[in-house]
Formats: sequence, C-alpha cells, structure tokens
Amino acid sequence: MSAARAQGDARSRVAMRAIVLLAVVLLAAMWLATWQRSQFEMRQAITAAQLANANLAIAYEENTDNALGDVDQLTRMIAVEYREEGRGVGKAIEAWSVDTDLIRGLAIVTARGETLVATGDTRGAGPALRERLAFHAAHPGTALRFTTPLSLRIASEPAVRVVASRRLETPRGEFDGLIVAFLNPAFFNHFFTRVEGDPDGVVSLVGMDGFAVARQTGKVSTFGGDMRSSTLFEQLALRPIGTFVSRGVRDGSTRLIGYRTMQEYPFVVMVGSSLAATAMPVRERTRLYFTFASAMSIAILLGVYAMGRFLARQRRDFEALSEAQARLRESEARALAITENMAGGVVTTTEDGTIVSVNAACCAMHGYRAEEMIGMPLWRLVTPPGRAGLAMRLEQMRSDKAAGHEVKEILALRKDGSTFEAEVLNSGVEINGQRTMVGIVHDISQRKALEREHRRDEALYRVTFDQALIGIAHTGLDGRFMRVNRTACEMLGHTESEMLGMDYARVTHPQDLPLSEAHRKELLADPMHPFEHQAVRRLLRKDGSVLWALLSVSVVRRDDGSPEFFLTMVQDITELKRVERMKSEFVSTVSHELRSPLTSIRGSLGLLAGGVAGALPKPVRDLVLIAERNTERLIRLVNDILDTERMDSDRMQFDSKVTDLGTLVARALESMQGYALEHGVKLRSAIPRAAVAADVDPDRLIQVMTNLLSNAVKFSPPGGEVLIALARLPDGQACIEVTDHGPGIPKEFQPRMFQRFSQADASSTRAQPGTGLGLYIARGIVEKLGGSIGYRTAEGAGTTFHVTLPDPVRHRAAAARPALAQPA
Amino acid sequence: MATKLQRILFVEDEEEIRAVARMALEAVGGFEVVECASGAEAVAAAPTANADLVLLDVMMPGMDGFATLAALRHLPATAHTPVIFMTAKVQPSETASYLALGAIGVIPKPFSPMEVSNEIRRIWAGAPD
Repeated sequence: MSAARAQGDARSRVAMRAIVLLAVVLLAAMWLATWQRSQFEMRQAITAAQLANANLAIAYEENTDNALGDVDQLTRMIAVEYREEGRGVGKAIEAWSVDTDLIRGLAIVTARGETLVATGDTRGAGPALRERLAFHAAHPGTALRFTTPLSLRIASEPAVRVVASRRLETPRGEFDGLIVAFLNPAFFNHFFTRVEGDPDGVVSLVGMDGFAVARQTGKVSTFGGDMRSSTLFEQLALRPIGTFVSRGVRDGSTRLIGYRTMQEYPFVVMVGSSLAATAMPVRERTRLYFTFASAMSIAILLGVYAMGRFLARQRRDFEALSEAQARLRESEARALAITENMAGGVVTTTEDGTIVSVNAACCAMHGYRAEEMIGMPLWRLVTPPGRAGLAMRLEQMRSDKAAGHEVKEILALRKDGSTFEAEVLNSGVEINGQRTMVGIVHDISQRKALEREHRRDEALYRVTFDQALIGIAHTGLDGRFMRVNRTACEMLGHTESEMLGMDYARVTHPQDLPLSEAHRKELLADPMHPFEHQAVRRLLRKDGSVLWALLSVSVVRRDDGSPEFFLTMVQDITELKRVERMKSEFVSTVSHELRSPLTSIRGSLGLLAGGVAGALPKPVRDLVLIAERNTERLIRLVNDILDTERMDSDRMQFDSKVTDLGTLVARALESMQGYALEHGVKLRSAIPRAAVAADVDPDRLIQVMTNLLSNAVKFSPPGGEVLIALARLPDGQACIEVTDHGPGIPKEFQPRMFQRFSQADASSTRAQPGTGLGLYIARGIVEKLGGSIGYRTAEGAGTTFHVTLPDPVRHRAAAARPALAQPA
Repeated sequence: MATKLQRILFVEDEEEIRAVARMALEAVGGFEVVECASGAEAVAAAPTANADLVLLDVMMPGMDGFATLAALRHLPATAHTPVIFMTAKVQPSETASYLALGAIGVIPKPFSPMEVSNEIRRIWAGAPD
C-alpha cells in the first residue's frame, strides 16, 4: 500500500471515530436531558399534586370542622338547656329542626336509660344508646365523643351512623344522662363528591381510633374499616400534617396522599390523588420527549451511517486519487530521472523549432546552461550545412502528423563554436494537443573516432595479413581454415577459395599430423600453456611436394577464455632446410672424402711405424711418428667437426641404456693411459665399491671422459697426477670429476670455455694442440644425456671438471613423456 | 665361432686402402686376403674364394655394401659367411642397420693398421656360430 493511501486511511479513520464519538455524546446528552426533563416534570407534577392534596385536605378539614362545630354547639346548647330546663328541654329540641344532611337524629337519654327526647330518625338506636350510656357513665368529661360508624337498623332499613354523644351532668357534676346526635357519615362523602377529583382519587375521614368514618374512592363510598395498620398511621406517628405516597392495599394503585390531623376533633382528613392520574399528562409529554429523542437518535445514527458511507467513499476516492497522484508523481519523477540521467541529450521544441526543454546531458554536450537554451531556436545547435535539413524535417513533421521518427547523423555545434558528431533521433508527439518535437542526441564523436580507428586498424591488419611474407592462417577448432593470407595460399599452391573450409590435415604431412594434432590438443586444454608453440612441420603443397615450414601456433581466446580459433604463422623454411641439408651433405661428403685418404695415410704410417715394412732408420722413424701423430689429430678434428655439425643440426644419435659408470670410467682411463704416459702424467681413478649406474650412451660418455682426461693430461705439469673420481650424490645423481693440478683456467677464457673452436692459447704456436671443439661437444653430449657439466678452477692450483648425470630411474620417467621437438 | 679364421674376402673400392689393409691383415694379422675392388667383383669371386669372413666397405660406386651383402647372401658359398663392415659411416643408427642386416661387427674407418686384425679376431670370437 502506498504511503498516501495509508495516510488517507488514517485520516479517514480518525474522522470516522470523531463522528461516532460525537454521535455517542450527542445521543447520551439528548437521552440524559430527556430523562432528566421527564423526571423533573414528574417530580414537579407530583409536588403540584401533593400541594393540591394538602390544600384540599385543609379545605376538607375546615369543612369538617365547621360541620362538627355545628354538632358540638348544638349538643352543648341542648346540654345547657337540659340543665336549666330539665325535662322541659324536650319541647325545644323537638322544635329544632334536625333533619339536616348531617345530623339525622337527636336523643336525650337519662342516667337511668330512659329516652327523654328523641327526634329525627333514631330508630333502632337502642343498643348504641345503651353502649354510649355505659361509656359516658364510666368516663367523666363533657366533651363530644364520636363512635366508629355503626350499622343501625333504622325503620328496618340498614343505615350507617356515627354516634356523637355528650355527657350530661347535674350542676353538681354528677352523671345525668347523655345527649346523642346520629350523624350521617355520607355527609362527608357528599362534601367530598363536590370536589373535583380523579376517579382513582381518595378522600377519607378517619377517626383517631384508627377506624375510617367515611371514605370515598372514585364513586364508591365506604364507611367504617380498620385503618390502624395503614401507612397513614405510620405517618401520623411521625407528623400530624404531611404528605406521602401509598400503595393502595385494596386496588393496588399508587396514590399521592395529603393528610391533616384536626385540632378540635379526634379525626384525620386525608386526600389522595392517584399517581397514575397525576403522571398521565407528564407521561404523555415524556413520551413525546422520548419519541422525539428516539427520532433524533435514529436521525443521528442514520447521519453517522451516511457519514461513514460518505467518508468511506471519500476515502476510496481519496485513495484512488492519491494513488493516481502517486503514480503520476512516480511516473513523472521516473520520466524526469530518466531524462535527466540519460547519457543522451533530450531536447523538445515547439513546432517551429524553439527549444522548450533540455536535459542536463544536452546542456553538457552543447556547452550551454539550460536557461540559455530554452527559447533558443534549434538550428543554433547545428552547423550551417545541416540547417537546411533541419528546417525540412521540421516542416515535414508540421505538415505530416503521421511522420515517424528519424535517425540522423549530424555535425552538432557547441556554444564555443566547436563541433561534435552526433546521432539524433527525432520524432513529433502530441502533448495536450500541442505538437512537440522531441530530439534525442548522442555524442558519437568518440564512437566515430573509434570506428575510424577500428577501420584503420582493420585496414592495417588486412594489409598486414594480406601482404605478410609469412603465411597466416586462422583455423577453426574443427580444423578447417577460416582465413588464410595470400602468402599462405602461394606457399601451398592453393587459391584462397580452395583453402577456405579445407581441413588443415590435408596440407599436413601424414607423418607430422599426429604431432600437430597432439599440439593442438595441448594448446586447447591448457589456457596457461605458452602463448604460442613453434614447431617445424612438413606441409604438402597442392602438387604433392613437401614444404618445410616453421609453424608458430597459438590459440585465440574469447573474453571468457574459451578458445575461438588457432592462429598459425607459417614460415617457409624449405630453402633453409635444403641449405642445411646441403651443408650437412657437404660436411658429410667432405668428411668422408677426407677419411678415405686419411685411412690410407694412417694405415701406411701405422704399418711403417709398426715396422711392418721393416726396421726404419731413427730419423725416418721419428718423421713417420710425427706424421702419424698429426694424422691422428686430423682424424680427431674431422670427427669433432662431424660431431659438431651433427650436434648443431640436432642429428647426433644416442644409443642410451642404463650402464655401470665404473666400467666406463675404467675404459676411458685405460684408453688414455698411453697418452698420459707420453706426457709423464699419472692417471688415477677413485671408483666406489657400490655400482653407480646412469642412463647413458656408453661410447658418448667415454668420449666426454676421454676429452676431459686428455685436457687434464695436457695441462698437467710433467710428473703431475690426474684423478678421475666417480660418486653417487645424495640426490641420486651420478657425478664424475676429473681433477688436474695444472695452471687453472685463466679468468678471461672462462666465459668462452664451452664455445666452439675456443682454446685458452689461441696462438699458432700453442704448446697444447687440440681441435677447440672438445668441451663444446662434451657439454652437448652431457646435456643430451640430461646431465650438466661444470668446473672449479683456481689459477695455479688446478681445475676440476665435474659431470653430473641424472638418476636413471627418474631420467627414464622423464624421457617417457612425449617429445615435442620435431626430430630433424 | 668354432672354425678358425683364415681367409678373408675383402671388398673395398679404393685401391690404396685395399693395399694398406691387405698389408695390415696379412703382415700383422696373418690372414689370407682375397681382394675385390667392387661388389660385382666380390660376387664373382665369392664362389671360389672359400672365405671364412667377408670384410665389406659400404660406400662404393655401383653396388654398395648393402647390395653386395644381399647378392652374396644369394650365393650358396657365402649365404652364411659372416660379414664385418668396415666403413666411415658409424653413427649409432647406421651401426644398428648393419647389425640388423646380419653383420657380426663394424670396424670404423680410418682404422688402425696395427689394431685392425685384433679387432677382427675379437669380433669373430664374440660372434655366434
């Protein structure tokens, strides 16, 4: 996910949370307010109802007080009258109209129980009167007393009456009967029914004795009833006046009650209204509030939902937009980065060729700053000869919207007037309906220079290849010629077309082919192999004749080291070979031709000196001996020259076998004894008891030893001693040392010691005759045998030559490796 | 070689060498020498020469040593007669080729006239029957 998208997401989540939180707070506040409002209104309604009940209770109390006051006053007046008039009072009472709503009857009963006066409806009151009589007789005091409502059978109809009675006393205060008023409890209800109340309301007059006098609930009036265990009496125990809430025992409805204890009379008035009735209007209002709150809640929730949807869409839109913007920015940045970092210069122009934009590379190429280039006509970047072409191209792109791109090489112009070769790819594009020309410029001066250089190299190479006086051939790994030069063709007598594709085996002498094959394999196998390999090979010309060639073969490898082809240089050495052979033949012939007369001379002189032709006079014999000695010397010289020639042409032959060197040393010593005797030199040998063997050609090694011995004898003073010693070195090599006690080798001669025809004493009158080839041949032989030759010398003290020969076992192993050198 | 070496058929084109060699072989070695100046002469002389040994030069005009040897081998008289080459060409390979042709030895030229007879006897003695 992109950063922009993540940011958009986070922002949108925060907004959504804020909205939800706001909605929750709003809902909570609204519901709290609604609830509180309803509670408040309810409390207010209840308070109002209680106040109304209290007021009603006051009114009721006054009313009741008045009514009872009337009864009190009447009975008191009657009592006074009775005291004054006695029995006579009856008349007065009878005259009294007692048929009030309240007082339904009056009666005076004497202490003896005799009803003195009875007016109004007093029927069936006998038992009550008797009870009252007994009560008052027992209780002094003339206050008016009330009973609980009593059911009386008056005129055979049931009636409920409260009996109010007052004790009558004599002037002396003795019990003298009582006056009784029969009160209709319905009077109180009647009063109450005149008060507007709710159907579930209650009004009650209750005696302090705990029995209800009258009670009106709705339209139902009841009289009597024990209320001692009611809430009212719990409250009365606390306060004489007050309000409370009661749950109706009978109907189960909750009521708001106001009550007052009457001050004059033992009654309590109680007014109650039903809570339901009080609450109803409040509830209706509250329901309205709640309905409103619910509606609001739904509206808020819907709002939140809509907001959420909106935000989500917004977020999606934003994300889409952000992503699109990010992509656009990225694409723009990429395009800019590509353009700016392109090695090529990028320039855009208007249709008429005015530069609109350039990248850094373009500025660098032309040596301008970007701000200098923008607005500049494009032709200023081109040298005059190219301007016409540029104008034509611009015109073409203007007129032909479908004109494709074009790649062109031009000579571009720098600010400083210098020029460079450039390759321009130009095309026209539409950007916002504007035709824009885009040019991509590459500085190709270097490439061009390289190309020119390459072409020159190529030409040079081609000329060298074609005109070389040595043959050059490129041979593929499959052995077929890929390229051959003229000289190679001429050498082999083929045309170039004949040679190309031809297998090199066809031009190689069959006897040399295995060697060539082996060399090619070696060259291929080992990249570290010496870069080139030189060998002499016989090649076959087209006409079948043999061409002696010195080949130099190397492998041309690719960058990764894999071989690509063989490069072979061929030098025609046929002529050289012919000359060599001629020289060799010449030397050989001359030697042979010399040998024949020498054979005769030596034979003749030998027979003469040997006395075969008879005894010779001393002077003759001396001369014959001189001739014989010099014949021997001449023979040695011829032999040495032949050996030298063979060695130089690498044709000296060796017949090597593992040989006991002790035997060879003894043979060499023996052959030199005569010569040593002539010089008065003693020859001595030191040969170890254990055999020392080496892989040598015995005759050639003897030739070396005799050469060294003859040198040693030659340079030994008369009476001197020459020692030839044989030893096995710790490393397995054999060592032969020849030591003399002569004058030593002069320093100046030492560097030339082993050269041809070098002698320490080059004067024609040298005392020690020799060919000057001895050491040269000796070294050649020893080296051919795989050994080495050296010397130690001290002027005046003598010289020791030492020859070391390789351990035969190792030497054989080394010799078993394939020889690379071409045998001559 | 059981039989005694007595008669030598000596083939050499150079007259002077022939003379010196003959003297060395007869005077110093005590052999009987039958001289031939060419291969052809040798082939002609061989049937009657009754030679115990052929001493043969290699480089000769006309029939060279090898051709002469081959021709002698075709003659009943010399089919099995031992041959020693006496030549200036004594490179190891050359020596080996002479021995391969059946020669019992090689004496290099120039030879020592006082030694040559002993050399021949030594070769004769070392050769198989």
